[in-house]
Amino acid sequence: MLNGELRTVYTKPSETLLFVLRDRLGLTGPKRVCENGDCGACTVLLSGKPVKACLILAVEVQGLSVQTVEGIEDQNLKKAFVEEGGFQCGFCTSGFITLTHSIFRDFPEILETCAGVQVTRGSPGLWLPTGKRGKRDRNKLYGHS
Amino acid sequence: MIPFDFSYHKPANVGEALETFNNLTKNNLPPVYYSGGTEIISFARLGKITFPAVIDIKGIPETGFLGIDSGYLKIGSTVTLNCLVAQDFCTPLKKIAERVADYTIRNRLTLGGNLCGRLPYREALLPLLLLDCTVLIAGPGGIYQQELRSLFNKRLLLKPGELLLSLQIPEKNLNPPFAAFRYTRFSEIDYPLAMTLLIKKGEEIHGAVTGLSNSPCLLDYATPLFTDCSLSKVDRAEKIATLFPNPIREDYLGSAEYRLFLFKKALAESLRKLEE
Repeated sequence: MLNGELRTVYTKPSETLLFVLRDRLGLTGPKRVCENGDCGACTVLLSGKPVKACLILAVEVQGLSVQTVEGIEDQNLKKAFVEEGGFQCGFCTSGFITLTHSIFRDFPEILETCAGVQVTRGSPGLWLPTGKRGKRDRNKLYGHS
Repeated sequence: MIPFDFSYHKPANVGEALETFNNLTKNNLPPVYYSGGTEIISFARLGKITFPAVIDIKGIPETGFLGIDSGYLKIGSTVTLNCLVAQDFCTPLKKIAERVADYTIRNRLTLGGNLCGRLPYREALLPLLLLDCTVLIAGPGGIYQQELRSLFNKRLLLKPGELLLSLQIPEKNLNPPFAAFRYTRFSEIDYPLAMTLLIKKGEEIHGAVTGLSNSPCLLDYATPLFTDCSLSKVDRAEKIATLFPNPIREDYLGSAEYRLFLFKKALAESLRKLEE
C-alpha cells in the first residue's frame, strides 16, 4: 500500500525504495540527497515508522504500507512549517514533515514538553546547527495550536 | 540505487535459509545474510562490498522474537534497536542502543546487524558481553547455543554459512547498576571516540569499551583495579588506561591521545556514578 492505495511495480533487487518511489512511481516528495542514511531528506513511513528510503530495498516492502509526504494530510503541521519558517532552503522539508508527523503521533507527550528538539536531534540531522531555533518554535506553535 | 545486480531471497524458516545459502554457494553465488540493510546498502552503493545474492532473514520467526521466556530475555537478531529502546527489558542495553546512529536509522538497524556488521564499533556487544549473554546460531551443522564471550574475538566468530538467530540474557542479570558514557567528536550522532559501559556485579565492577581501539574490548584486566580503594578514582582510571592492551585508534575523528583522555574521563565518571 502506498499512501493508502494498492500499487504494483516491477523492480530489481538492487533498486532502493527511494529510487522506485521517485523514478518509477513519480513521488518526488522524498528527496535524493546523501543516499547514505545521513541527511533524512528521503524519510518515509514504513508500516507507520519513519525510515530512510535510501537504505531500504524496494523488494523488501512488498505487502507493507508506505507513506510519503504526499500522503500526509496533517494540514496543521504543514501550516505550522510555513508560518514559522521551518525551512532553510526547503529541499529537506518533506523529510522533516514526515518525521515530525510520526513523532507527534507516536510521542504525544512531546506536544506538552516541547521536547521535539530532543527527538529530532536524533533524526535528520544535517540541518540542525542553523535550524534548531526555528524547529523549536515551530514545535511549540504546533503544540499549542 | 546499488550499482550492481543481485538476487534477493526471503526464506520463511531456518531450514529454508540454510538451504538457500547452500544452493547459492554451490552455484558460485556466495550470498550475504541481510536484515536491516543499513550498512549493506550504503557499503554496496559505495562499492566497498559486492555480492551476487542476499538472503533476507526477517521472515524467520526466531529472529524477530523479543521477550522473556523461561528465565531469559530472548532477543531475535532482526529486532531493531528502537524496539529494544521502546521495550526496555534491559536498561544497560537500552542506554547503549539509544545512542547508536539516529532515530530513523534505528527503526531499521537490527541488533544482529550491529553485532555482525563491518563497522568496528559494535556498541551492543558491550552490555551483551558483560551480562553473560548466550547466542543461538544456525549453521550447516545444525542449531547450537554458545556463550557470547567464547564466540567473541574482536568480532563474532561465525563460520561461513552460519546465521545468528537470537541472543539471550539471564533474567536475573538484566538490570544491574551501571554507568555508560559515549563521547563523540562533532555531534551526538557520530561514531564513538570512546564508549564505555561499567556494570556492578555484587562487589565487583566489570567493564567494556568500544571506539578506543579497532574492536570492542572487555576490560577484564581492570576488574580488580575498579574497586581498588587505595587509589583515587582518577588514579584508577589513569592506571586502567595505561594498562589498556590494544593499540589506540587514530583517525580523522580523533587522535589516540584524545581518545585515551576521553577513556580516562569516562572511567572516572563511571566510577563516581557507581560508588555514589
